[in-house]
Amino acid sequence: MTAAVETFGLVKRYRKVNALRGLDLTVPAGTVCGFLGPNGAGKTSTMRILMGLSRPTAGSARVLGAPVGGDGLAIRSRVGYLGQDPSFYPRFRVRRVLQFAARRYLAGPRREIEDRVDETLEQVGLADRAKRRVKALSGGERQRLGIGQAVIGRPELLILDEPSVGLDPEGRFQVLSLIDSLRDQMTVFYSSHILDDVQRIADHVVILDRGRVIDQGPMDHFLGSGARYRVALDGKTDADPAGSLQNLPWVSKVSRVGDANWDVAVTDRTAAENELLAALAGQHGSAVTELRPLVQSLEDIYMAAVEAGDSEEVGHDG
Amino acid sequence: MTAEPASLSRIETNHPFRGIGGMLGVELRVWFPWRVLLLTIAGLGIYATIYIPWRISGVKQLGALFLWSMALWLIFLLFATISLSEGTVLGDIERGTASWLVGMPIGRPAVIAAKAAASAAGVSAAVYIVGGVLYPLFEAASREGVTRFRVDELTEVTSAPIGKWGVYVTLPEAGQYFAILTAIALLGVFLVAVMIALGSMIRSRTAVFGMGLACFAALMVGWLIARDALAVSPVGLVTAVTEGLQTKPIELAVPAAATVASSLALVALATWNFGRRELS
Repeated sequence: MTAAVETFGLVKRYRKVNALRGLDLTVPAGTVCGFLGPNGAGKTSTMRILMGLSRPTAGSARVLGAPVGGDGLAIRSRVGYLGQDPSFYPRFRVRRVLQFAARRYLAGPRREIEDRVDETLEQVGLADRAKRRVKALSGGERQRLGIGQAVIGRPELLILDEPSVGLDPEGRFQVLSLIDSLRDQMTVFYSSHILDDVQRIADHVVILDRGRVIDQGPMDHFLGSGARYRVALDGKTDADPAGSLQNLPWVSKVSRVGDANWDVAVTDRTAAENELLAALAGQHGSAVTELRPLVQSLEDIYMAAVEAGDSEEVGHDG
Repeated sequence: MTAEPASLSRIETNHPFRGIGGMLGVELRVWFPWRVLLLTIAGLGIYATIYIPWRISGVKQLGALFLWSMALWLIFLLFATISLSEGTVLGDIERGTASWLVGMPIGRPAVIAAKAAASAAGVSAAVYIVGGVLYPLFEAASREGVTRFRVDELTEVTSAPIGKWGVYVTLPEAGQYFAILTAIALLGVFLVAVMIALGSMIRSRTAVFGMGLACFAALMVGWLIARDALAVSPVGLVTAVTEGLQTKPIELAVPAAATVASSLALVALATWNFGRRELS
């Protein structure tokens, strides 16, 4: 799979603050990639460097195969970008913003450009707001306008910096639905610290903390690994399956969570689904009353990854 | 990926001035029509505030009307240029509009060049519109029978101290008048370039405004104390204006060329600074 974005040891230092500390990330082409990280992790710094708005202190990056640096016009012709808290000319009307953006990317007859503007207005749900001034839009409408101006040139890569931050639930839903609708048209690389949003629409995840990538991969890699199952026995005996389960090669941890309940963490979901019930059967004559996978959210994985990063940091610092 | 319709194509040219046409359109709308109209009304207002007492006084000295109208208009215009231009670059950076623009395929040099060209066009338009409207009014005033007076007679109307110069005032010929307007417009353009250069270097609009005023003051002080030494500079244009208003022959070409060259150098400096600037 080719990469839409790659960074190699990217470093960004603002006076005494190290925003990025050797960032190596890959965004595969054709994916919706969530760029996760707490506030201050370096997400915005990374995106600004990719767009040529900021220069790296060290390291390099490639966007759509082209090295980032210099004016970056060749890259920006093929990339749509929405910065955090987007700002347009306040005196512009919605249609004018899209017309202006369209003419920066596209050449062709005026009628065709206007058709594209109409199409984009429909796509971002702002057709009935086309004559409004930008300053009269709500936060959600402004974000959708921002996405509209970013996609109007049909870019190969769309970079969105916190597109759903600060929006009410309805606004967030609209923005996420819009991003979801772009899935098959372009690579989408978007940053967020809202884990639910990323889990809902991303198929690839990069987790960033304190200027470093702490994990990255397809969503399945995150949600499919480290699965956990809840096991309940009938409680009529004092059976404890922990000992025997721990001996199985695909079981990583067994924790008792009640009188007759255990959480079994596994490293191989397929093996667990094929063999876990058999392994539990005949545990000192107990009946298995419950066996179900525990839904592991991206939040669980994210917190675990960040905590692991913290421990490593302490280890390195120490 | 979605294919473009056959008639629409992605723009592939990537020169540093890509997007300058669109940017120029946007920036011209900043100046036309409202700012230019505001400057025009102000210029005509200055004339009216001098003309009304001129009519009432019955003294009807052309010098009182012409010299004071043009001198005050020059000072007002240059001050207004500084005020209106202090946010030309910094305003977009602070508002975040610059990031939006540069996030699209628009060259950074195109942004600065468009701002400089549109501001220069706006200031120049205001100068020529006001000057063009005033000239027939000055002519009409001079046809009332008063065409040549000692400036020291102005003191009867204005209490101004310039009577000691003892110069005589007539209305310049149209060609000379046009040259004076050109000198004023070029001074405005020079200050626009100064403000754009300052805006690309400094992060505070107040500081940009203050330094712009300091530059204006330096121009005037330079004219007062070293006008001959600074003849090949924008100070030479101030000399051209003041001497032109007194219907003396003026040398415009050299200071005009020096001012255009300085303005271009300042815009080039602004382009270089803006090209390196981190945008948020």
